[in-house]
Amino acid sequence: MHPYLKKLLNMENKIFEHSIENRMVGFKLKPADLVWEKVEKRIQKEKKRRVLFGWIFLGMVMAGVGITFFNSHENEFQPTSSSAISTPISNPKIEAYVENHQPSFDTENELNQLQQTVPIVSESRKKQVFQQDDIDVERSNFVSNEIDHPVSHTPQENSINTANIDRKVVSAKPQGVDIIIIRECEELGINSSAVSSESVNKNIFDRQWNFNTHYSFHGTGDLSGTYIEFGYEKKLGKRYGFYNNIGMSIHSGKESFSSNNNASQLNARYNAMQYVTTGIQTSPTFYRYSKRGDVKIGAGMVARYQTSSTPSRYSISPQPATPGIFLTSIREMEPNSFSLGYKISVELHLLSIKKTDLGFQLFFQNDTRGDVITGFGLSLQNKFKKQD
Amino acid sequence: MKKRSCSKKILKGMILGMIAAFLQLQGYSQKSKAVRFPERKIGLSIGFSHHQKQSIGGVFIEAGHEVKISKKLSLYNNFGFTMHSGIDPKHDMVVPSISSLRLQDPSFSTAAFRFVTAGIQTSPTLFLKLKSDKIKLGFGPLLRYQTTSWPSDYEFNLISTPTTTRTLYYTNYSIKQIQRHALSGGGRMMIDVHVAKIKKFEARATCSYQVDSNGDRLAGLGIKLQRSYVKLP
Repeated sequence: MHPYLKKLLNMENKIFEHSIENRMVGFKLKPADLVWEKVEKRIQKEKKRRVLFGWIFLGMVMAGVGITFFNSHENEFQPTSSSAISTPISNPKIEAYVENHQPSFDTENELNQLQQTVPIVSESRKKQVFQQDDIDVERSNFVSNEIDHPVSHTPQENSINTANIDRKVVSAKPQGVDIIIIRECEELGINSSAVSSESVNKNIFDRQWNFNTHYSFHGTGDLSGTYIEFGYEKKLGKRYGFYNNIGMSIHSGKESFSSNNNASQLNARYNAMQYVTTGIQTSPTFYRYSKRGDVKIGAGMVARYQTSSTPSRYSISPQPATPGIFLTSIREMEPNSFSLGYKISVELHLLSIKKTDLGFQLFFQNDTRGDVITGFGLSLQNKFKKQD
Repeated sequence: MKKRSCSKKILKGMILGMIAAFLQLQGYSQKSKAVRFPERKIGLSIGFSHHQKQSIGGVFIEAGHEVKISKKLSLYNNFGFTMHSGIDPKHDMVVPSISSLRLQDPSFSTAAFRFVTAGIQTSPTLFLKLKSDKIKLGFGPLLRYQTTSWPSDYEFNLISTPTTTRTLYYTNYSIKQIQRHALSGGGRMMIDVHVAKIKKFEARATCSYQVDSNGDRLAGLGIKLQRSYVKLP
């Protein structure tokens, strides 16, 4: 590069740095009452915490595990030091927002706008604000960890030493950054304390394995039994999910006429017929979750293969030689067959332990063979995130 | 003064040594944590099954989870479902030809009773890997609940009643003994043979034989589809 050009660029850099410096030096923020209250609370908490951490730190040094403390201090202190700073770390929504609102040179304009919108506070408050400067400057170190690098992405970036400017911008506007984040939290309607691990988990785990066991009825309650299902559920957006499964049902019951007859019960040599109906089915289901996610309603298709020992046409007649004993004459059996149908289910969330959920489920299904199967039971769900 | 500075140096050296040792330990523990993730597999088996006691065929479906516990051993826990059905063999022996009987009694109709047996079972199986995981040999206890329509003692009768014009026929079943529901314990033996593997998915041919305290003997032959994964801490 030509030496003259180099000189010119250096001069430009210096002028640019000076202009930024001049603007930043005189920069002071006047936070609103609401904002100030929040900041004040945080500062008080932080002071108490500092004393505690100091003692812990001393203890740790004496024990010779200062290094561990250093690591954990970073991990523990960051999320709890200030609600405004911790929320962007734990909540992807805010994190994304903070990334988009890094303190670039455009931030200046935002701060100016903010200055205009925020009402002027009393002199005593002003003093209080700047008595806390030393604390805030320290806090800015945390902020700078996150917002060091992407400060400027203008075309001039290549020709100027941005590192110095970054530091100046960050150190000059620690409160500005905090307040922006607080404001954004408020705008997004997110209370830092309300951002619980549960809600974060809900966002992280978008898939789950389900294991459902039900007490079930076949027909109009003639046969009772169980229905067991293994399934895989995937969330589609916030309120919808798709659930695929394979299920097995076992229903059984005695032949009702002869088993209800007192004479046949007295005669132990003879038994009523036992009818067993069993089936394998799959029912891809679309779920819609409630706003809170504790209730979900599903509807889907059913493809079912069923085998049954229940005759479709039969008669019962008394045995001529032994009165009181009934004999069953089977005329026609139901064939083993495939059928299609629909299934509706409702699930109520009961409890969660770590990644495992327990729910109460009700279902109703009907198919082309005319079979109606109903059931209620428990659903055990293990949430996970797809590994790459 | 010299002594003091010497002791200071020693103390400094000790502290630095402790820190270095601690850091090394920490690094080691992280490494060992990373290595210690056991291989896990989740899978579904499906196949044909034969209920040897009742001489009826059917299918089995099983969902299982396998955890590698050592180089040669893995523990396979599962939850399975069996479904068998077949028609009563006595019926066809007693009524050889329905059409010939219908010539004499056009209103005659009969059907063989279908025996349906369904069971739910679990059998934690210990697999021994042979030939570098190509073949796996497994043994384990079995807990099974079964419901059946198969009577262990029954009569099937073809009764003919001659009238003045023709002979009337009808059939009936008389059930003498039946064990409707049974909860039994037993054992199961399995052989898994590697068939194919694509990325995390593996297909294996599976063969099993089980015996339980109810006297039921079930043989199964099917395919097992497994997906391997690593459980993150």
